[in-house]
Amino acid sequence: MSRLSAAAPSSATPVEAAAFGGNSSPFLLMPITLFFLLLGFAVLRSPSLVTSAGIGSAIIVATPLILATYALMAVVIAGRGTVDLSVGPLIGFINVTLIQLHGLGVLDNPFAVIGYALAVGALYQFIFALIVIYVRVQPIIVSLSGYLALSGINLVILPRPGGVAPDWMASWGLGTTIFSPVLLILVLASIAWLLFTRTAFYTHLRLMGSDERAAYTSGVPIFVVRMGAHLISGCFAGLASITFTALISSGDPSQGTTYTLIAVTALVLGGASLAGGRGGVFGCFLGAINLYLITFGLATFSFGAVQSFVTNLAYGTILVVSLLLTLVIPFIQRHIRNFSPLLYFVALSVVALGVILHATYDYGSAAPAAQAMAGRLAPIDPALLYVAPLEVAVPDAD
Amino acid sequence: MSVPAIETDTTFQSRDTIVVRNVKKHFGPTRALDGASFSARAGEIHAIVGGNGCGKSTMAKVVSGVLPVDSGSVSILGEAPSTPAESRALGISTVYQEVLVADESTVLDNIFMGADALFSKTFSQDHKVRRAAELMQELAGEPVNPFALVGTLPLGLKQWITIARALMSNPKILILDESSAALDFDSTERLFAKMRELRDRGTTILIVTHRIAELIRISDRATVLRDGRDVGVLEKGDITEKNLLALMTGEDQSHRHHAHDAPQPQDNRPVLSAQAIATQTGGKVFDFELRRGEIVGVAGLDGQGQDMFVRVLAGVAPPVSGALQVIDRKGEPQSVHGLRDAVNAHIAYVSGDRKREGIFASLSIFENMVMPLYREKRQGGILGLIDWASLGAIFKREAENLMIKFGQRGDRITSLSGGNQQKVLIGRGFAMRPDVIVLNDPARGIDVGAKTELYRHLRNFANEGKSVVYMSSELEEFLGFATRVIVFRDGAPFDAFDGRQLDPKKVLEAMFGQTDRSGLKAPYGPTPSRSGATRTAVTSTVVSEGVRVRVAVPDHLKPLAKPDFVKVHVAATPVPSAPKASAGGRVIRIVEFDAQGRVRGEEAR
Repeated sequence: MSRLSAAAPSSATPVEAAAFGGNSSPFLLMPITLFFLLLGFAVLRSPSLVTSAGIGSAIIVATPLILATYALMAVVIAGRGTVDLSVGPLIGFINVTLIQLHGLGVLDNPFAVIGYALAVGALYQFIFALIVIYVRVQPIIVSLSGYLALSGINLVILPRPGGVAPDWMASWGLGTTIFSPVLLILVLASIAWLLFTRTAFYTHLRLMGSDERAAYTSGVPIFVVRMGAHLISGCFAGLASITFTALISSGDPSQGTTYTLIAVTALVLGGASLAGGRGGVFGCFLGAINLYLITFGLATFSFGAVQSFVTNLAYGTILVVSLLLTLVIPFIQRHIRNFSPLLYFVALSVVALGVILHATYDYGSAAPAAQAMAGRLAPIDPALLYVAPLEVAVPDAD
Repeated sequence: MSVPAIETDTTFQSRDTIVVRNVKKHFGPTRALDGASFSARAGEIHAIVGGNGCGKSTMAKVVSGVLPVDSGSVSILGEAPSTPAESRALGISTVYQEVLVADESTVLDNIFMGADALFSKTFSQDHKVRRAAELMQELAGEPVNPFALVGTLPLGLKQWITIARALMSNPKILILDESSAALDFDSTERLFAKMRELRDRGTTILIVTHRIAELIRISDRATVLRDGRDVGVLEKGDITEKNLLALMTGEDQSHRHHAHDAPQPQDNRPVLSAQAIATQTGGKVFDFELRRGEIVGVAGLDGQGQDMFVRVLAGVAPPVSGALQVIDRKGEPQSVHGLRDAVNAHIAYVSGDRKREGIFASLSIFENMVMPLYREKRQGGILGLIDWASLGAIFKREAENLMIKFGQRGDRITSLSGGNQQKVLIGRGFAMRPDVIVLNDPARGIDVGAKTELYRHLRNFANEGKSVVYMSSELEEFLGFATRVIVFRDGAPFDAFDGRQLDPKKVLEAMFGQTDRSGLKAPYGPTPSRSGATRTAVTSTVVSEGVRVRVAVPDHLKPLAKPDFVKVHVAATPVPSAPKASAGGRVIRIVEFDAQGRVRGEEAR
């Protein structure tokens, strides 16, 4: 016993670097690098991003996407190539039913609304999981069917955008300050997942996603674990729908559908493995934020009518390039055994902070420069940000 | 250490922990287990042993609860677990043949896979890290970072992780299914030490292996399986190579077949040769030659390189080193690099793995067979129209030859039985009109009738002067069928046997590495001597009687004993007793007599 305790210090790495294999997670390398590149670019283009209103509006616009990406992440980790294409229409479905029920005076209480959204999301994923587990249909097919069915149902429930969100939600979507209930939801959801990663259930989930046969033969209850992953995904989708409703303050049958493709993009950009077993909130958060920064950065250029096309082009290009760059990861792994994403993040933060300070600091003395700076400091015309699919619907005139 | 209290009572020695009675398990037409029984006690290392396809791996899966049985009873510690989770709860741990690890997770999570309850963790993190590091150090003999991702580790360590996982739960019953396959010698020693330690604590250890030397050293009792049945149990003192092989082969096998029927090559011209070839990384370098009109059987235990060898011959896989040469129809040597050359050199490949390397499940029977001929049957220049009429004729011919039973030729191939699907694939091989056909365990999962027809067809093919390379996992297939059999071990030929005197028992011994390897140098070895087989057969019985030369013609040469054939060899053979002058213009008489010395015919030259 004494020999053991001497041999195993309580630090996280009881075995020295001579041991086989690295414990690094180099897949976060790409999203982190991309994040700071895009942040620097966006801040230099328009320093208004780092004002309280700029960050507030970024949070309001990006949160539904971040949460939708979380919803995808929870099931993609479970393996079998479970990429839930129906996440967008599901968000839309919860949105339109919420608005219609609110219009009928049924749903008003914040707790009832949030409870309703979570319950519908979880119920949908429960059915999804039952089909995947017991009928053994490929998840991608089930999710595609869900995508098509829900897209249609949404239009039946609410043929055109309209309706009003509950009164207490109206102020959520303004995004004038950093701190808002939407941020609270995002933070709570992220913390909930981080706490979840400490549980045995999460370990089972990752093991199953990485090799389902190994997990089964080792006695992991794979059906229960898969079901759990879907329920968690449904809850994230419910939260995404709440923040989406807050963002547009009304109901929209088709807007939610656009989240599917962009959330999958964010998922991949965030370093998750579509084959299963790998993915996390930090990567997904960065993936979604990166997409927002691309939209924001391009909005400063005023491409006019082709704005959304250019944005989509940029999404695609950056996704492909970042996937190509992951090919160098094995080389990096060979040289850097213990890559610490946190350390890398902090190091780049310092650099980014310098860029932000440079961009926002009023150098004052030089008048022409100050004038130019003042012009650039002016907030971006919000209309420029209204580009699909991260677009913010302009509230109805009435 | 947190190992629970050691069972100190001595009563466990007599307690049966595993009792399997008359278990049957079928996979389609294959009877993996056909009424097998055995029992194992607490505190012993019990080996299950047998040749390929005897059902030993199936037995391991049945005991570990992964496979439900068709009939019979399985009682493990008095229960009958039906899922791995239930087995685990009973204290059964299994290390499977496949290295089952989750690459995306850490060593720690992999070792404790299945140890935690659904929501709660069984041990604290510190405790887990300590035990994982310690156990891996003990087993692998080197420190392993418990937080390393398993995907970054070499195969040997992955294998240790699966073993560590099984040991971590302090099993009452430990099943090791070919678990030392990926381990080197030192590692195997460490594994054995650990196994003895567990046994002394009262664990029942069931090992399934075909490494006889290891088995003899470690096991306390051994149950031998043959054709899905148990054929004997050996106690510690009786576990010897001799006894095991006697049980594995059975004594009644060699009488049923007519080994001397094996087809013989018409001449010694090679059609395919390989010099200094290696087919496996780290495998030995060897030569191989294939002659016209012969059927070469390739055998070996699973994973000994025979599979790779036939794939290399067919051009499907590249050799690790060395090169392949084909003597084309004009007699010119052509080197073969890759599949394209092989196809151009008229080498056809038929795989027994129909699903992965054979059928196109969504296409018709017709298309499945004539597919490789599309390029050849193009017409209309740039349009590349396919001449369906001539393809139809080819299809009709092959389907009739092989007696394929089908409804419409446009039906999907999956509407056929496995045996008929295989015939279509063989038909595809023949439709290419090859000189050499390479078959990789084609009889897997097809019934006896279809097999017999397949052999008949291949023999006819060989009699036309074409050559066959036939890899099989069932030795019985070679009897009366293969000209010679080459046994692979560790990636290279280990021994070779003449098909006319084929003794399945000897072949099996060679598969287990228990023969003197004299076959490698014999005329029927991997590289037959140029005029080897026929010269020895004839010169030994040439008797000169002045102008008469008596030549014994063995039965297997009968159809080939044309006068000029014999004359050439008599003249060219420097046998002291053969009169040199006889070939030089004087009239000689060739008298043919049979093995008993009776004169069969006389011919004047």
